[in-house]
Amino acid sequence: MKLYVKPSHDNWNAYVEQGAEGFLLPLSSYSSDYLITFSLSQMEECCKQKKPVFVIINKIIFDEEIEPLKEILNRLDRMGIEGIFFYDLALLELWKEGNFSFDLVWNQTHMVTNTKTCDYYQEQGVVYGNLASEITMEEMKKMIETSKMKFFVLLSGHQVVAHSKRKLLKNYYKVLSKNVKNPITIEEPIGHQKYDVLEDATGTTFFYHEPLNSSKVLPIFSNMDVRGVLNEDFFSHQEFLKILSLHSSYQKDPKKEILDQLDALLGTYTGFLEKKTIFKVKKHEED
Amino acid sequence: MKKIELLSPAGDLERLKVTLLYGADAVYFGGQDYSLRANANNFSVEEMREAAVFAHSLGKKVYLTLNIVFHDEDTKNVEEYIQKVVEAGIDAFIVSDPFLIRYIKEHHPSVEVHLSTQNSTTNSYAVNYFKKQGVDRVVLARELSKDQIKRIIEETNMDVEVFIHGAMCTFFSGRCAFSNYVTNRDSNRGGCSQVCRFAFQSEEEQPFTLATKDLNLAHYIKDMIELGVSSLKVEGRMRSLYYLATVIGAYRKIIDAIYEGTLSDELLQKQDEILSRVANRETSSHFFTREADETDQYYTGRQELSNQEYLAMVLDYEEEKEQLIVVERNYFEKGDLVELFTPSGKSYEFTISDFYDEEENCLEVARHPEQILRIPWREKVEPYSMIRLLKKGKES
Repeated sequence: MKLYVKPSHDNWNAYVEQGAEGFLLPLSSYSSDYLITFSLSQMEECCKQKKPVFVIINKIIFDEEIEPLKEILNRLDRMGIEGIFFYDLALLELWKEGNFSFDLVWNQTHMVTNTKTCDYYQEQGVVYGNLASEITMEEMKKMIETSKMKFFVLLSGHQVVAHSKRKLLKNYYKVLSKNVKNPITIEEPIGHQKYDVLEDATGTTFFYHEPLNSSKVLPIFSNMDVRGVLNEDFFSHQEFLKILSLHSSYQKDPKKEILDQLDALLGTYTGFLEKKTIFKVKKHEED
Repeated sequence: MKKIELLSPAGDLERLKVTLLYGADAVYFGGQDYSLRANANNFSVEEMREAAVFAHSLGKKVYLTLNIVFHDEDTKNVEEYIQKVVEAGIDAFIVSDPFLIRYIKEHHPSVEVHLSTQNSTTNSYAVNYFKKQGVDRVVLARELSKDQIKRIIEETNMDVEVFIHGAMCTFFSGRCAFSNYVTNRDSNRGGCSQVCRFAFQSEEEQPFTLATKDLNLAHYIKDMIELGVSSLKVEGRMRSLYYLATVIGAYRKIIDAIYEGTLSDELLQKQDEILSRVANRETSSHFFTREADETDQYYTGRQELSNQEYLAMVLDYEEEKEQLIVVERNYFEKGDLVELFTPSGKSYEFTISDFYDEEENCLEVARHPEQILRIPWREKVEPYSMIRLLKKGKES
């Protein structure tokens, strides 16, 4: 497994020193679901680190954004980035049209959930997929082992729950006649779980408040051909560098005490890695 | 010029028949597998066959939703399922997962593939991508404005379907797993628990809410026709017979009046009033005319309104006795001013005077939903005609 970092700062070397083997950089105004995003100039600087740089352009695209996007893609191609994480199929069409040298990463947040669709996109020229956080470890493992696609998987960070075009914080505070707070934390009424709500130019994103801790499955992922992602958003910088350092140490020397240290830092939330959604597709055998 | 299609949802076979009789040109429904409304009754393969025969006999079409986001375990028997439902006579699949596009086009080329709104398609490049993959129609995202829809049609010449009425998602379709996290029910596999309608606690005194008002584009149907939209979609596979009859009936009248050149402000206003009477939430045009804002959402309290104006449905007409045989749906009584409306678009206002139970005992009030009642009536009307309350005879 290789470790990729979605940083919150542009002191790239600090991450490399703690074991980052590549970067995922969300492009300002063209990415959704990220607290900290980066400009093209910052990306240019990051490329000088000689570590693979993947750029995240995962907003839903509208026609009026296509022309500026073409220019951005050309500039990114000249920078020598490794690839682009995309959500909107316009990116795949533009990539085919532009004959770019960077690769694509299929990154439709909650939809990268089965081998057949991964293989479909792989045949369209998409080399990588970013696995959905809502599938189990067993499902991930099977996809990694059987698909022709190469995968990224979130190891630690705050999972994206939903994304809206609506300005839900602006609207809420307008009704309250108060200044907008952004981000905020809310609590749902059933299980009293908390969510972080973030608004940016592309809309509003909800995140699970507890960070994902994949320490239980690190022993499995460590031996697989997969790219583990650590997302710094909502962590303090020092805390995140420690998390990165522990993951990196585990790759070199897989000791249980490292996993214990990760548990102490990250808590016990394991997302859907070991929990299947209970509401499955209905099956009716008589059909 | 090809007439625009009015596309209705149906949660079961009876609703499918009613909505076609009330003027839908095509109906979409889910099967018992692979549909995003797993809580709707949904159709067995045999019911799909009956649905297709019924629709085709009227020169209309049936579309099957196959729009879950598949996990590996769901893909096992899907090819056999597709074979069976094609044999049942469906005209198109509405799919979300693109591996199905290629499979269906290769193995069942006579059946159309429509790309679900679950893919949140919002631009001409994405539409062209799917066009090249063999998709016959794209259901556009509900976040598009009139000008954006226009541009997509102009630049792709694609068959596009646009939502015109019903509930709205707060989030981009497909880009929401809120239900998975809060209730462990998979929103992209038919388990959406509508968490977006919950009230959340925040640090402010007033709860944080994100629920949206419903969509109503009745005033923009002429624009849709001029834009070159192919199909107008009504949301609501779990809606009642009465709701579907009313909504589809109203849009049928608007569409027909536009093509006949008889659309007036008065007609539009009347149909809009009819639509508002069956609405259980406030409505808005959302993104079609402007960027959606705070006026398109709810911030306090319960959002659903109860609706008890649907009084009875006609089962039959007994010519000898000149009586309607109806099944009661909601309380009514002598003196109530009501409207009888029919699938063919006729409507009659009258005041309830005499009416009887099955044993022909004269009644003063109808207070037992599902009870069979007889109402004197002068001429034959079609089954599935309905009676709705216009005004109570006295305050009860």
